[in-house]
Amino acid sequence: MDVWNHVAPLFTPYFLGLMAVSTFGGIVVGMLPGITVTMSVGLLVGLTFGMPALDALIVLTCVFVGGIYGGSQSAILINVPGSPAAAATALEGHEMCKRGQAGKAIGYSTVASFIGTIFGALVLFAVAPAMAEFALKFSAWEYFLLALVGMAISAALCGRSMALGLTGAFLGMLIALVGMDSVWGYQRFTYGSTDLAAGFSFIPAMIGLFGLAEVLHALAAPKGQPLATKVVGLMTRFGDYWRYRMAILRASVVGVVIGALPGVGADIAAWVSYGTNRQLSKEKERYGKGTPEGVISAETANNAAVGGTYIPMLTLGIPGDAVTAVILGGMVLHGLRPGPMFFLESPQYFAIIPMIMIISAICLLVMGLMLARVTPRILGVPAWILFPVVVLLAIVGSYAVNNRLFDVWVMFAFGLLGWGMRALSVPTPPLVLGMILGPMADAEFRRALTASHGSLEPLYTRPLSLVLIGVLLITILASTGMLQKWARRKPAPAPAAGD
Amino acid sequence: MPGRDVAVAGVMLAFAIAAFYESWRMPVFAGQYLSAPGLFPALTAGAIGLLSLIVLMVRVPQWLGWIAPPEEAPEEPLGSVTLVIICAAIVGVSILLMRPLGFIAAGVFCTIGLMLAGLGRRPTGGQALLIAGFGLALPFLIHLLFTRVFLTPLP
Repeated sequence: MDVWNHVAPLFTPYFLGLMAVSTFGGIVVGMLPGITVTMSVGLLVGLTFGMPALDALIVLTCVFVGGIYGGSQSAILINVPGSPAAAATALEGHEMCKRGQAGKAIGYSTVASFIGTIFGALVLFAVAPAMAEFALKFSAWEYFLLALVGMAISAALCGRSMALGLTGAFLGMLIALVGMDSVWGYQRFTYGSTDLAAGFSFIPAMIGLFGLAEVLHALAAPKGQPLATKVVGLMTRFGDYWRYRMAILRASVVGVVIGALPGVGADIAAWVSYGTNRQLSKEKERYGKGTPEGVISAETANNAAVGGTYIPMLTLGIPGDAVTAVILGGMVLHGLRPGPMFFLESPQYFAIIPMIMIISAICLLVMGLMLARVTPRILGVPAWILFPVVVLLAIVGSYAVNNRLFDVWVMFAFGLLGWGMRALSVPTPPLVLGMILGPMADAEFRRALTASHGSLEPLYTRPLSLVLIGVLLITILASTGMLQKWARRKPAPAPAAGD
Repeated sequence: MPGRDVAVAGVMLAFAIAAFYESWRMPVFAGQYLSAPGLFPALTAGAIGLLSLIVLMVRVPQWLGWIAPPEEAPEEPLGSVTLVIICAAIVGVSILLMRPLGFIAAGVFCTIGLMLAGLGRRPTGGQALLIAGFGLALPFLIHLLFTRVFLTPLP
C-alpha cells in the first residue's frame, strides 16, 4: 500500500480546514450535555449526504474524535458528562474542579485524549489491513457466528442484564428484516405498505434513537451549572505524563481492545481503563479524591477506542459501537462498502482514516486548550434554546436521506422507542448492532444452510467456527456469572480412607 | 427494577409469539425450506421468546417477593414524564403539519412549542421576544441551508 500517495491529498488547505472545523464542531457538541456524539454524527450523515464521500468521512470521523474528547470538559466543570464516554472522567475531574484545579484537569484530559487518539489511529493503521486479509478466510457460517458473538459481547458489556441486552439485539435483527427478502424477493412484515417494502432506513432510525430520544430525556432532566466560571492554568508538565506512563500505556491498550469489540465502544473502554488503573495504581488512596491519573486513564482510553471501533467496521462490516454503526450507514449511503472486500476495493481508506484521526488529534490538542477558557459560557446556554435546533435538524436530516416523509415518522417512532428503552434501563447499543447485523446474519445463515444441505456439520468441523463458538460460550458463561462460580468452586474433600 | 423487567419481558414475549406466528405463515418457494423467507425471522422470534421467558423466570419470583432481588446500581433520574409526552406530541404534530403546511410552518410550530415546553414557565418579556425571534429565524435558516447549500428539496 503506497501510504503517502493515499494520504497526500489530505494536506490541502480545504481538507485541513474541514478537519479543523469538524473537530471544533465535535468538541462543542461533545461538551453540551444531552447532545451525544452518536446524535451529532447521525444528524451529520443527513447533512453531509450531498458531499463527496471523502469530505463526508472527514466530517464524521473528526466530529467523532472531537466529540469523545469534548464530553470531558462538561464532566469536569459541571459533573454532567457531555457524552457517556466521559462519565468516568467526571469522577476524578470534577473533584479536581472542586479543589480549584479545573484548568489542570482539562489540560490533563486534553493531552490524554490526544495521546489516546494517536495510539488508536496507529493501531488501526497497523492492524486493519492484516485483519482484512484474515477476514477473507471467513465462510458463511463464520459470518453468522460472528454476528452472534458481536451481539453477545455487546449485550454482556452494555447493560445490567445480558438476557435483556440480547433481547434488544434480536429485536434489532427482526426490525432489520422488515422489507424485501434478499433471496426470494418476498416482502416480510410489510402488510401491503409500499413504504415498508424497502424496510426501515437505518439513518433515520439512528437519528431517532440517539437524537430525538436524547432530547426528550435531556429536556426533562435537571441540568447542572458550571462550578468554575473561569478556567485558568491549563498547562501541564511533561513530567506528570512520564510519571503516569504505565497508566497511559494500559489505558491506550484497553481502549483499543475494548473499542475493537463489536458494539461496545468508548464509554465501556473508559470505565474498564479507570477500573484497571485504579486497581494497579501506586496511588490507590488518591482515587475518588481527584487524581490526575484517573482523568488520564479515562480520557486516554475513550479516545484510543475511536481507532479501535473502526477496526471491525472497516474489515468485517461490524461496527465497534453505535457511532461507527451510524458512520457505517453513512459510508454505505456514499457508495462505500466496509467489509472483508473493502481492503481490496478501496485500500486507500486504510491509510486515509488513521491520518484523518491523527490530524484531528492535533486540532483537538490546540483547540481543546483554547476553547477551555470559554467552555463555562457555552455550557451556560439553556437546553430550551439548544434542543429545538437538534429536533429540527433531526426532522430535516431524516427527510433528506430519501426525501420521504415516512422516514421522518420512522425517526419519531425510534425516538420514542429509544426514550422508552432508556426509561426501562434496556441498553440501546445491542439493538443498533442487531439492526446492522440482521440482514447479514439472515443471508449468511440461509446461504450456509443451503450450501451444506441443511447439515450443521461445518459448525463444528471448521477450526474458525469452533473458535467463535468457544468465544460465544465464554461470553455467555462469564456474563451470567457461571464461569466465575466454576472458577471459585472448592475442590470436594477427599473421601476418608476405608469409606 | 424487577417490576419493570417483568413488564418488558411480558411485552417482548407477546411480540415474539406474534412475530413467530407471522414468520411461520410465510410461504416456502419451490420446496426450499432451508432458504425460506420465514426461517430466520422465526428463529429470531424464537430467541426473543426464549430470552423473555428466562427474564420472567428470574424476575417474577423477585417481583413477588419470594426471593430478595440482587443489589443494583442506582438508576438515572428519569425527569418529568409529562414533559416528555408534551414534547413528543409537539414533534408529532409538527411532522403531521409538514405535508399540508410545509416545513417552515411546521418548524415554527415545533421550535416555539419546544422552547415554551422546555422553559417550563411563563416567559418574561425578553424571553418571549427571544422565543419569537428564534422560532421564526431557525426554520428559515435550516430551510435555506438544505434547499440552497445541500440542494435537498423540502416540503
